Order: sequence, then C-alpha cells, then structure tokens
Amino acid sequence: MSEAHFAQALLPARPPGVRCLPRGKESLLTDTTLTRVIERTLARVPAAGTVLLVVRWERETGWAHLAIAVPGAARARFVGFHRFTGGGAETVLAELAAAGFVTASKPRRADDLMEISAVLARREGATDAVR
Amino acid sequence: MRFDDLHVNGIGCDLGALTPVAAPLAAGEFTAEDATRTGQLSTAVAERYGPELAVRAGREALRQCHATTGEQVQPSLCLHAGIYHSGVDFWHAASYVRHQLGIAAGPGLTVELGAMSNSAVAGMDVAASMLLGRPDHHAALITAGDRFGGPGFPHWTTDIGIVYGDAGSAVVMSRRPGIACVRAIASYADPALEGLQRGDEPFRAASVAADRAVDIRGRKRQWLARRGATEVDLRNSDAVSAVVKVALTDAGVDLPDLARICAPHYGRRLVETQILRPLGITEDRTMTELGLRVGHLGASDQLVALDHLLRGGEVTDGDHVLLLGVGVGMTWTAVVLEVGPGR
Repeated sequence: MSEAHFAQALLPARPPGVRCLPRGKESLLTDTTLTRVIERTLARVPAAGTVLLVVRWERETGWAHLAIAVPGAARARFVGFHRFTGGGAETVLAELAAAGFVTASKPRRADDLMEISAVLARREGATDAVR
Repeated sequence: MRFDDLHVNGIGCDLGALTPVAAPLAAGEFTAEDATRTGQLSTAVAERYGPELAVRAGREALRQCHATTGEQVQPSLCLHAGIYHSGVDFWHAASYVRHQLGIAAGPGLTVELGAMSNSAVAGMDVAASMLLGRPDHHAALITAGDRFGGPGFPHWTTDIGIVYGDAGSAVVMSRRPGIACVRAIASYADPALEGLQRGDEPFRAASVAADRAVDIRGRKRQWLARRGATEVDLRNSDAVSAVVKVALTDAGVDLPDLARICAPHYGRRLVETQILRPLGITEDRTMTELGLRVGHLGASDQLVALDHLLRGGEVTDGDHVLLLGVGVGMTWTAVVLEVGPGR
C-alpha cells in the first residue's frame, strides 16, 4: 500500500482538504480512559481467539480512533475514541503497554498519522491456555 | 455518559417567516461581502416573542408525547431558555411557558437555563441527569424561544458572521420509549473564552439594548485584538472534538455512522472553522443548508434541525443523529440520539 493510500485508510472519515486544527498546548482534556473502553468492548467479544486493537492516532490533535479486529471477520469494529495524554509516539506505545497491550507489528506512519496494531497480552495468555 | 433507558417523546418548533437576504441588502443593512462570507440566504423573523414561540413549540412536543406514550404527560421538570430579552423585565418566562401549556401546579422544578445558545442541548444533559437520578421525575420539558430585532438586536448586523433568526423549540424527555433514544451525552466548559463576548464592556446598571444595538461585533474585535483568533479556534477545536468523541465513544457509534449532525447555525464560514474542521467532516453531514435559510435561532438550532429531519423523513428508525450545542462563555454539549423507540 502506498503512503498516500495508507494515510487515507487511517482516517477514512476525513475528506481531502479538511484537517483538524493543531492541539492546544494547554489542553487538559482526559476524556475517555483507554482501559474503560477496551474492557467494555472485550466483555462483548467471545473469549477464544486473538483480538487485535487497531489504534489510528493523529499526532496533531492527540486523538486516536480505536477499533477491534477479529482475524477472519470482514472489518474492524469501532470501539471508541481516546485522547492520549502525551505528545509523542513513544508515549502512546507506553500507554498502550500500561493498559496491557503488546504491539503486534511495527507501527505504520504517514504524515501526522500512525497506525498501531496491538494484542491484549493477558488475553493472548488465556487463548494459549485454551489451546 | 451512556444512557440505556432515556427517550425523546416529543419535539416541536415554531419558526418566524423567512425574510430573504435581498431585503437587508436593499436596505443597506447587510453588505454583499457579508452575504458571500456567511452564505446566508434568508432568516426567520417572528412577530411573537420568544416565550410565546416556546409555548407553541411546547404544545406540539406535548401533543407528540401524548401520541407516543398514550398519556397526557405533565412534566415535573420544566426547563426554559432564551438568549435575548424575553419581552418583559424582571420576570420568569419559564413559569409563563409552563402555565400556558397547562402544566398544573405540583412538585418539581420550573427553572430557566442560562447556557446561551447551548441552553437547549445542555438542558438535555441536565434533564437526563435528573431523570436518571431522581425516580420521582417522570418527564422533563425543555423549551427555548427567542425573538431578535431592533433596536437592541438587529437580525442581520449584530454579530460577526452570524445572522440571527426567531424561533421556539421544545422537547419532552422521559424513561418511556418515544420517537428517539438518548444514547450518550457529553458536556465541556472553557470559561477562558468568556471575554470574547464581553470585550471591554463595563458593568452597567441597566441594559443599553432599549436604545441601541448590542455591540457584539465591537466586543469580539476588542478581545480578538488582544488574544487573537487562534486561541478561540484551538480551544473550540479541543472542546468540539472532546464532547463529540466522548459521546460517540459512550454511544458506541463512529463518526461516519451518524446520519446527520445538528450543529449551530453560524453561517458558512464559521461552521467551516468551528465545526467542520475540528471534526474533519464535510458540510453535507450537517444541517448548514437549513441554517442558511432560517438563521441562528438562539438555543433552538439543534431542536429545529432535528424536527426538520424527522418531519421530512430524512432520518428513520435506527439512524443516529448528533446534536452539538455550543454556547458563548463557552460551553459545549453533544447528544447522540438513535431515532425510533429503540431495540
């Protein structure tokens, strides 16, 4: 996939030429917590099998689009938005790790966007035990 | 906050007659540049006063409520808003609205909301919280109504980029299924922008609006000269993103899944900078086309737009609609609705 196509795939809802304003330095928004969204979602997903969390993070605003992808399913399912508290990719990865996720592949970057696929570590352990 | 057992049972609105932009252009009250910048085609101008418009809207909302629930609902929570002069000094318009609607004396609250243009949508947050936390409240009626106009508030010229229109609106909410389910609500406040509407205006003993137009343009220019427009854009962008994304997350609905977004009727340019850009959406997702015909209706923009969508059959059962309220001060509220009685 080309970088241009990748960038479009990251945020399909954003039409060309329409962009977010930069994030304010003094922003104190915390909004939804990552763990709350994920726990609520996973409660509805069957226990067996690998579940990927697809995080599409926009550096400019700090907001990320979260989706759960089940291998074999037609498309990822939206689970919510989350605003990461830090401004860098490392902080995002650290926050995901703190929430129990292990990155499943190298993050993909395009312009101001980054896509991370992550697996819930404890869930993988449970899946292994079932096998 | 996610809601699983909260519904809209009735909605109503009353609009003034549409005055085309040609009239203020011919009178020299509105320039061709203003018309181009705002894209405004006409605006609603009423003969009735705000509380009277609210009563007419409330009557329809209660009628629909009766039709959907099969009962004559007597809301114990009556919330009313008007952002400009109600028509009578030192008076309680909310009680007038309640009395005119035939809602009898009884336990509960009849109060006025003061979130300016966000009042009705913020009122849905207040009503939802009350209905969720107070089982003794069975239904809430939220009404709004404003009539602008000279000498204090000329429709076309008082504000920068915003043309005001006259309307009343009303919505009934309860825990009984109705015409739409409330799925989630999120609110946010940023008082650092309060001065944008005040400028260098001193406190006064009485309103100046009886003699001359309220100088909103001048006040905004005073504040913007010191602080700059970027601060408004950044803080608004933060807040709009926050309330919409939190409400969508709580509702479990993605932005592309929304059938329509009912946002403030600010005029084309302000809608672009204050609503579309922060959300990364295009104008056709909003009710801007309606807004360019009826004007900014005080606190009624979102309810009038929702009523328009429902009446026109532009949304059907299962569709999700977002109401986005923005009020000077500033405050923001997002309400995610699912049309229909719910599953």
